[in-house]
Amino acid sequence: MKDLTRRSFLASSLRAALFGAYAVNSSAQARSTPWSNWSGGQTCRPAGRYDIASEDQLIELLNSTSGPIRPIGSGHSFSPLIPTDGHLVIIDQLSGILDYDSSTLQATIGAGSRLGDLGVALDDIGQGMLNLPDIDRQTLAGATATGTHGTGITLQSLAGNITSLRLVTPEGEIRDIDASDGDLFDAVRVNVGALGVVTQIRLQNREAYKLKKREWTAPTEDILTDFDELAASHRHFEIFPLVYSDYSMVLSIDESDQPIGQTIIPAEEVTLADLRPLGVDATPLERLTMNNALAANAETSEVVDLSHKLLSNIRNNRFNEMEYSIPAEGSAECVREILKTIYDQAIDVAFPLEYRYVSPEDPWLSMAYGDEPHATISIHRTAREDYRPYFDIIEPIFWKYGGRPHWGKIHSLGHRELSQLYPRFRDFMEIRQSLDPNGRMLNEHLKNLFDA
Amino acid sequence: MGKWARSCALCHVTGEAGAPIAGDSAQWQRRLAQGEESILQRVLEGYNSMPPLGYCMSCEVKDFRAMVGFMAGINQ
Repeated sequence: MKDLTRRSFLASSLRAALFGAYAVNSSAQARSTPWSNWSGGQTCRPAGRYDIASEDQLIELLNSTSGPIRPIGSGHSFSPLIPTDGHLVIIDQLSGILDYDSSTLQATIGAGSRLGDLGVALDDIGQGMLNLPDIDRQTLAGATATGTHGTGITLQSLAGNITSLRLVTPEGEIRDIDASDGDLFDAVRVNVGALGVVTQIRLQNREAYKLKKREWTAPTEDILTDFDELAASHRHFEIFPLVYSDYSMVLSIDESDQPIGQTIIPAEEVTLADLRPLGVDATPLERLTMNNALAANAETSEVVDLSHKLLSNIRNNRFNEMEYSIPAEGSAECVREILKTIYDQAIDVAFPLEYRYVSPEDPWLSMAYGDEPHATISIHRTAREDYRPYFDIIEPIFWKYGGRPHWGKIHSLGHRELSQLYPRFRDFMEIRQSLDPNGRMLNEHLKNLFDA
Repeated sequence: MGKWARSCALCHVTGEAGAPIAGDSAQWQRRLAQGEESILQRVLEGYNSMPPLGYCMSCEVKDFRAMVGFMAGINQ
């Protein structure tokens, strides 16, 4: 007889506990599993989820079902773009590099690819993406549809680097769209998931490259005064103004041919970790004093690595975020007003702001649509906290400066306000109506956005 | 395995952000000792760095049970 040790008994018990209920309850649980976004701030209980492996499956789904359909990437949007009681279409399987051209440095990529997986795959074919957003778990389709961007006054958003894409319309028609399609191309690159399901995207890349990132702290007012010059003199330049402090964390990134390596502990990690314990008991003045002392002593760090490893990150602390873009000229005053409001109203928040410039670009619903550079300003709240009181106080400040909201982040605007902020917004609504006359791509949030 | 490779594997292969590494029975036994419902609740609602559903948007409860079992090495 086989010996029954305490360890094997425990393992057997755990196995039984883990799988015991599966056979009995699997179908009922399958229908009731809720969906939630990355932060946990958005939830829904869809009628069905469809994990499509091909465009044919997608078309069959569109033709064989009725009711709302929402395409879903990795669920990183903080705004309610996804929640529906209809069907979720998961595009994870539409991933990988499908085709590439080494002479034009373009690549056609499955729209469900995660940005973090693309860095290595593109590096293997000698290409690197021109820029990346902060979080690398997002899918290419989700990031482009929401106008997600990185940092750099000469660098466009991910959508701005699209040379063509394939859209499966709500009526099941495949459309390959590029610049020759004129208005449709400018509408579909940032589409908020409202025009159909994008299945593949061709990106303009560049040769693979290395970057050098430098992080340090400096007085916020000094940096704001020189921000235009600093932004123009680095490939990427941004600051994280510390709340209850006269300092900012500063980040610059430039091309480098130095060996890969890091010199010292990143200043950002040291500062954030040290700021959190200050908690709710400290008065604004006490926080200011302590934060200034910490920030003044934060060290400078430098690291050289492959571009995709430095531009995009895994975020281990989940949060909710509001981000608006405003014209770069005069945007420093908006940063000052937000910092002053937090201090004056003693808002209990430790997350720094984020302030950066992005290049003008053509997609109609891009935050940086038009001819002038835009600044983007972000505020954050940990996922455990109710973000609404803080965001409700700050959002009107963005409106004063003509702010356009990020589609994937928290905002409270509807079509009336949005049509004043985006010059081609009504044109987008007309294209949306023509592609989706029955409104299958709309949930309640999108109906409010697009007056449908 | 395809679903696992596109979701759980993102963190549970390397141990990113403190995730228990697939196949490391010692790490998994500590979690399993807290009970099945506790683990499933963490997967569905998110826990520390792991987002709700662990990046598997198509997974249902049965899939999560199987994935946990696979990573813990108890359904071989």
